[in-house]
Amino acid sequence: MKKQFILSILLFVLFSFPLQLMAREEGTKYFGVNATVEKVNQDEYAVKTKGEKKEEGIVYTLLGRFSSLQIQPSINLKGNGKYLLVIQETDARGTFINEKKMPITLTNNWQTFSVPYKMKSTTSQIDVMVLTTTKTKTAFFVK
Amino acid sequence: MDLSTFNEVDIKEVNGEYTLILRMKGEQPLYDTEFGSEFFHSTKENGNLVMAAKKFIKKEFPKIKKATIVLAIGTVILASFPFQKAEAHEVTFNMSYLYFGNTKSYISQIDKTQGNLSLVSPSYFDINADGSLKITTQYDSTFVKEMHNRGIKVVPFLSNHWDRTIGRAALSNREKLTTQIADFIIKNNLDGIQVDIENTTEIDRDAYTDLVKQLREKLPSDKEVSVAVAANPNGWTKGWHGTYDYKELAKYSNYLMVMAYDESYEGSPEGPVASYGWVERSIQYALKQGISSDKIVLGIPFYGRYWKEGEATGGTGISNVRVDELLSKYGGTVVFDEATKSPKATVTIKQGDPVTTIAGKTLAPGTYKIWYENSDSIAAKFDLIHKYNLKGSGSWSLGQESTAIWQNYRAWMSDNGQTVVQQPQQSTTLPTTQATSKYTVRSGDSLWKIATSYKMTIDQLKQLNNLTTDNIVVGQVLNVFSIVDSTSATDTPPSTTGETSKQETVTKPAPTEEAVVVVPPAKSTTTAAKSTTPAKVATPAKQTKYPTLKSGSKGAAVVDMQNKLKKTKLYTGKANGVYDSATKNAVVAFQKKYKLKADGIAGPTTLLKLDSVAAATKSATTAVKKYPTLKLGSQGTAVKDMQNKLIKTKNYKGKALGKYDASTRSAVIAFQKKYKLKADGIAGPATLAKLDSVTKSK
Repeated sequence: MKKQFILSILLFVLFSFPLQLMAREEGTKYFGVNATVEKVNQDEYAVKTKGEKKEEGIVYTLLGRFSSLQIQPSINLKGNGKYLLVIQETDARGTFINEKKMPITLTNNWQTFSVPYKMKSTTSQIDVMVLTTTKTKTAFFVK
Repeated sequence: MDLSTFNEVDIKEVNGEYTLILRMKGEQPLYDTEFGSEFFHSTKENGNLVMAAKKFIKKEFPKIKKATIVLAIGTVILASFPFQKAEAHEVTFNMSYLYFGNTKSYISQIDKTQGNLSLVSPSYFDINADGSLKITTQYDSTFVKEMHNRGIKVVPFLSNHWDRTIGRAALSNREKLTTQIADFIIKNNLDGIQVDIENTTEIDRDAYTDLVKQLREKLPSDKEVSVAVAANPNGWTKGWHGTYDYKELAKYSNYLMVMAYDESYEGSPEGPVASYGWVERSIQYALKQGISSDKIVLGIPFYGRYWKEGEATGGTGISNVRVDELLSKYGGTVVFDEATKSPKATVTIKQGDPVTTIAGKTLAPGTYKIWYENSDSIAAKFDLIHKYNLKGSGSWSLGQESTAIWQNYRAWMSDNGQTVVQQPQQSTTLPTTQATSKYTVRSGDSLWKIATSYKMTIDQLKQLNNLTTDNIVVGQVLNVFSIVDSTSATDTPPSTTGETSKQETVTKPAPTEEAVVVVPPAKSTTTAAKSTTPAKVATPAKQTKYPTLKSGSKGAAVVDMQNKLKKTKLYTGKANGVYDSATKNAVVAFQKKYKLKADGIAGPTTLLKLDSVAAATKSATTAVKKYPTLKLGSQGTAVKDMQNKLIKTKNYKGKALGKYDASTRSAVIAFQKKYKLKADGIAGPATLAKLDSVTKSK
C-alpha cells in the first residue's frame, strides 16, 4: 500500500512537470538551420551561422505530450546582437497552423528567454527556433 | 452536331496506313448543303463537321494516332482529310511499397500483381538517433535476388517514421548518412533509394535537397534516387509541405512520388482519403513547379479510413481488402461518390455479430462509414495519370489492396483505360501461328516467372499446357512460346512493361529443344490491350463495320447485340431486335462496367468491346477443363479416353476398355516418368492435362 502511494506520488510529479522544462531536459536536440551546432560544455552548445541568408540559427522540437493549450517554452542564450525567437505550431499531420516571432537581443551574459504561446490543439507539434534577422555570419551559445 | 452524326465506320489498312470512312446519315439535308459549297473553305458548319469527325475518332478509336478520314453519305464520298493525334500515353511504371510483412508474404503478394509492378520499395533503411543509417531486419538478400529474377527493381525507402527529431538528425548527419546508404546499395546490389523523410518543415528545405543531391552524387547513374513528397494541393510553403523544394529535388531525382493520400486522416472529419479534385490539384501543383510530367509518380492509397457513427473522432486506417471482408461479413452498402470519385461503404455491426479486429482494435457494434478505394476510384486516378502524362503510379502499400484490381491494372495502364481489342472472329480467321518449345521446370520457378520469360501471360501458359491449377513441379515439361519469332513483327506478343530489366528477362535465349508450330490460344483482351500498334485494330483481310445503335433502333444488329449482352449477364430480356429501355439500361450497365461513356448509345467502341467480352466469356467457359483423378479400380469413359491417349503416346498397348487395371497403371507410370511427373500411377489433373497436351501436339 505504501509502495503504491509512493509510486502514485512519483507518477504525479512526473506528469505534472512543467512542459517547458521537459523540453529542455537532457535529450533536447538542437539542430542547425544553415548553421553548425557544436557541444562545448555539458548541455552547452556553440552555434555558428553560415551567413548565406537571413533566418539561420537553431531549431528544437518540444518533446512530450501537451496537457494544456497554454505553454511557455524557454531557452538560455548568450551571444551578441539581434535575433528572432520563433515558436511554430504545426498540427499532428505537419500542417502549418501558426507561428509567433519575438525579437530578442543577446549579450555576453546568459539570459533566459521565454515566450507564452497558446496552442490550437494539444496534439500539435511545437518547434522553437532562434534565427538571425539578417544575412550574417555570427555565433551564439545555447543551453 | 454530335458524335451520333456518324452512323457507320469502315476501317481500311493498307501498308500500315489507315483510312477511316465515316458514313453519315443520308437523310440529313444539312450535309448536302454543307458539301454543296466548297469543302474546307471554313464555313462554320464545315469546321464543326471536321471537328466532330476528329472528336469521334479520338473517342471511338483512341489507339489510332494517324489516319485519313473519309466522310461519306451512303456510297458518295464527300471529302477526305488527314487526322493526327498526339502520342497516346502509356504507363510503364508502377511501384509499390512493402511495409507490412516479411520476405515470404512479400513474394506472394508480388506474384499476385500479375507482372504489373516494375519496382518495389521495401522498408530497409531506418535512421538511428544520431542520424546514421540503420538497416532494418526486413532486409533480405534472397528477396532482392528473387525480385531481380522477376525483373523487378528493389529500391528501399529511407524513413524517419514521422519523427521530426530523427528526420533532422538525418539531415544534420547527411554527409555520413548518404555515404553509408550509397555503400550499402552498391555492396548489396540494390537498385537505388527513395528518400521518405517526413514531418520536417520549411527550415529543413535546403538541407533536405542537399541530402538528395549528395545521394545522386554518391550513387552510380544506374541506381535510382527518388523522393516521396507531400502532396501539396494548396501550395503551402510552411510546415511539412514546405520541406519539399519540388523543382530542386527533381533535378537530383529520377522522379518524385507524390503522396497523394491522407486528405482525410485520423482525427479529421469523415471523408475520402484521396478525392479526385484533391489529387488533381496535387498534380497541378507539382507541374506548376516546373517539373517534367514524366518525373512525377502519383501515389495511390490501397487503404481507406473509417468513422464510427456517434463517436467524436475517427479516421482509423483500414486496408481495402479488409473493407471487402467487412462487407461480405456484415453486408452493407457501397455508394460511389461521383464528386470525389471515391467509394463510401456503410457497414452496421449488430450485437451478437461475429467480432472483427482491425490493427488490434476490435470493432464494437455500431454503424461505420468507410471511405476507401476500389477499382472505380483507382481507375479514376489512372485517368489523371494519363491526363497529365505522368510517369506512373506508386501504391501504399502492397498487400492492402483487393488483389482483384491487378486484373485491371494492365487496362488502366493503357491510354485512358481504353483497351483496343482485336475482333475475336478476326483472330480465329487470321493465319496466326506461334512457334513453341519445351521448358523444364526448375527449382524456384513459378508460372508467372516462366510466362514472363517467354512473353506469355499466365493464362496463355496454362492454356497451352492444359493446366487447371497454378501448381507446377520441378522437372515438369511445359510448352512455351518460342522466343525466336518466326512470324511477322505484328504477331509478336506485345511487351508487358517498358522496363529495361524486364526486357532483359524476356529476351533470354530460348531452350534448345526442337520447335513445333501450333495454333496459339486466343489472345486475352488484356494482352491485346497492351498493343500500341495500330495494326492490331484491323487488317485488310477483314473490314469491320459497326453501326451506331440507340433507343428506337430495330433489326438484326440489335438482336445480335442483345444476344451478346445476355452472354455478359447484363441483359435478361428477349433478343427481340428492339432497342427499348431495358436494352438501353443494359448498354449503360455494360458501358459503366467497362469504363466507356455511359450514354446508352451502342456505337463502334461499345459494340467492339461487347464483341470481345462476349467472345471472352465463351472462351472462358470452353477453355476451363476439369480433370478427374483416375486410379486403379476407376472405370468409365474418362478412363477409356485416357487409355486411348496413352495408346497414342505408345505407353499403353492394351485395349481402351475403360477399366483402370494394372496394365493401365503401368502405362500411366511410364508416361509420368517420361514427362517427369510424379510417377505414382495415379492419373490426376497434372497427368491428364499433360496427356492432353502431348496427344494434341502429335
